[in-house]
Amino acid sequence: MMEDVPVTVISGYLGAGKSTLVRRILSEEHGMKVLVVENEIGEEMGIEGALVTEGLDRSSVTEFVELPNGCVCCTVKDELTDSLSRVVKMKKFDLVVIEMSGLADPGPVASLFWIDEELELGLRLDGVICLVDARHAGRHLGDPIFMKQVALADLVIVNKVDLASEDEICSLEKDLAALVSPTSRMQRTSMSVCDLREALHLKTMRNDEVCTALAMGRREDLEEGHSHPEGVGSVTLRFTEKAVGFSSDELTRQLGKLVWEQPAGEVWRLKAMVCVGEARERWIFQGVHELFDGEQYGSWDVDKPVVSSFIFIGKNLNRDLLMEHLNASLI
Amino acid sequence: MVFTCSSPGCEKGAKLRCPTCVKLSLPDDGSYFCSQDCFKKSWKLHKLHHVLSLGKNSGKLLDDREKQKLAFANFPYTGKLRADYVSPMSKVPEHIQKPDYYETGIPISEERSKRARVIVQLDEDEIAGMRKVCRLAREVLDIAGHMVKPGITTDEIDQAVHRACLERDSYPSPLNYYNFPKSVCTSVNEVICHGIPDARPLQDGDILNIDITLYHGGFHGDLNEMYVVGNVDEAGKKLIKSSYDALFAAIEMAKPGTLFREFGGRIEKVAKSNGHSVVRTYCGHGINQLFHTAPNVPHYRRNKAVGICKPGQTFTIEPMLGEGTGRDVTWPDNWTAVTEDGKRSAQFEHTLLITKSGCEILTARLETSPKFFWED
Repeated sequence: MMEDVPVTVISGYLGAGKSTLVRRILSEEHGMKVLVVENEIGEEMGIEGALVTEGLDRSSVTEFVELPNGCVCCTVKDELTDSLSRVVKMKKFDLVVIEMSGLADPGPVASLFWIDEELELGLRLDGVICLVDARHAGRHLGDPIFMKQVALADLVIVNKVDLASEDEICSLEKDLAALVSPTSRMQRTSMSVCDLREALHLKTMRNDEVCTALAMGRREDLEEGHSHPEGVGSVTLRFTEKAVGFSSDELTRQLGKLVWEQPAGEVWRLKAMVCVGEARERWIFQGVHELFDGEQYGSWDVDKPVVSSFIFIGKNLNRDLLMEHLNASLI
Repeated sequence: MVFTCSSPGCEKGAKLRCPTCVKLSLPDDGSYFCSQDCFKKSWKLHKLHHVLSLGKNSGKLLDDREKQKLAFANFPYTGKLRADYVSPMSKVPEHIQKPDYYETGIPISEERSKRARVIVQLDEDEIAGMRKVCRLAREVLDIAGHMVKPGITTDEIDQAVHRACLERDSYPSPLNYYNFPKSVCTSVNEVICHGIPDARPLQDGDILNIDITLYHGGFHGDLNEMYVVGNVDEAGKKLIKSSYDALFAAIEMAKPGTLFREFGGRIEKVAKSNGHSVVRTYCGHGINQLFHTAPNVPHYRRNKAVGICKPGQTFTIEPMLGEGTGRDVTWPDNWTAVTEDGKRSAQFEHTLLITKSGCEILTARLETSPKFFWED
């Protein structure tokens, strides 16, 4: 069985350096064969299926503009996962990169690639990268799309730092910190130069990664839970008392309510490490856009304290209401 | 052969072809572009070409038989079944109310609603509309079911279904839905679903699924059942019964509060206990004023389907089980889904309404419905 090919979604406001990053991915020597998908034209052309096919074979995606490390094709639409899966298998790509248009919400596209394993499409969502312009991002801070792009990212790249002063960068980073998930990373770059192999293998959906992220947090302020003045941010909830056992079925239903009906605010992303049942099973839950899922991942060590942790990322999240729903799924 | 880019003013060589032109089998001329950019630039003008060419060419398209032969040349069939002759599309008279894809094949309202992804709860009047169309669909399925015997062709069943729909002031929903060429889906042996009725006579020992959807009074009603043709072996019968049991195990769970993701686990459990697999590619679906809409209802466990059952929702559950693998392959007709290993597949489907306390099977059987083999 071949390993699933990671899919990375690159978002970022206009001028943040997405194209530069994509050009690096396509031209630098890193030994990976990359398929780049541009999610640009769909909306502006007003048609969904504007894919040019090669010859008569309508099963394939694409115009292939041959570049050293891969090729560029076009629009993302629902059925795209299927055709993309075929192309990736046929042409043996190592990576898929989706370049979002500057004004797009990366949530729906990211969730599109969080494909049920049962479907055997050979693709897996690796992570969402957001590029931010160190010098000009300050003026977008109140923009809903900008905030969502930052909040949904697993890796926030503050780019073009060579064009900004240290003060400007620090002040921006402080503002971003309120938006960025406590489990995500932030890094500085200029000219979109970063460790590509690492950035394209964030493995954010992997259970062990979620465990690490939740146990330690990427940043020291994990405990706090925080939000931006516009209501975008994260809430961290921990259950450390004796009553820590959750029912996985009930928790699934409660999370369903929280994600789909949003009684406690808009949930954009969630990560949780949960103690389930008397047997102290350890379950990992994750949510992206309107999808979420949970599965058992080992058990809690007998001699270590049990801490069930939940991180919700979204807008206007109400801590008390979130808590109420989670409490309802305690055994 | 080298083509020139169809973008006005561009004379570069072109290797890329407009997918809509391909789908419509339009002539090569005017359908090639040198680049995505040129295609984008000339889209507004080019799309008119689709409409115009269609009208012009409708009289002199390739002969259907020749087209089919070309499409299936060297196709590695997975089982014994072969594509056979498909007769011309049936006509629908003026007075029948038609869905929006009737002429173009594209269900515009469905595609639009895909973006919203809301699971609709119907009001009392709408529910009455669903009850009506589902009852009519049941009647039509039973008419088709009574015809099943060795020697009859699925094309004959299609003609009868088409007539029965018209007699009930109904449009056969599959007809021209994304250009599906017939009024019913007939799936024989290794065909999982979406089989196209054709000139092949049913053979003693075949298992057959007939999948009916009607559009009446602005609503769609959808159901399917399996039929045995003459004498079917025990393994075939077991597969049929297993898929029936899987459907009803899922229906038992259908009530307010159940998550749509929960059905799959129950279905897969029944299938596994009988040594059968579950097809993953095709799912149950919301159905109302739209043929296919939210929710998506997968039949396998460990799915991430969105949504919670609530009163007034109408949707189908339609598990497809395989004797061997659950993996599927699509024939070059772009519809017929067959098992990858060529082994048989069976399916049952109902349209359900979530009520305050449980669910109502809108397409339930009637006293007059053909008996199942296990009822004899």
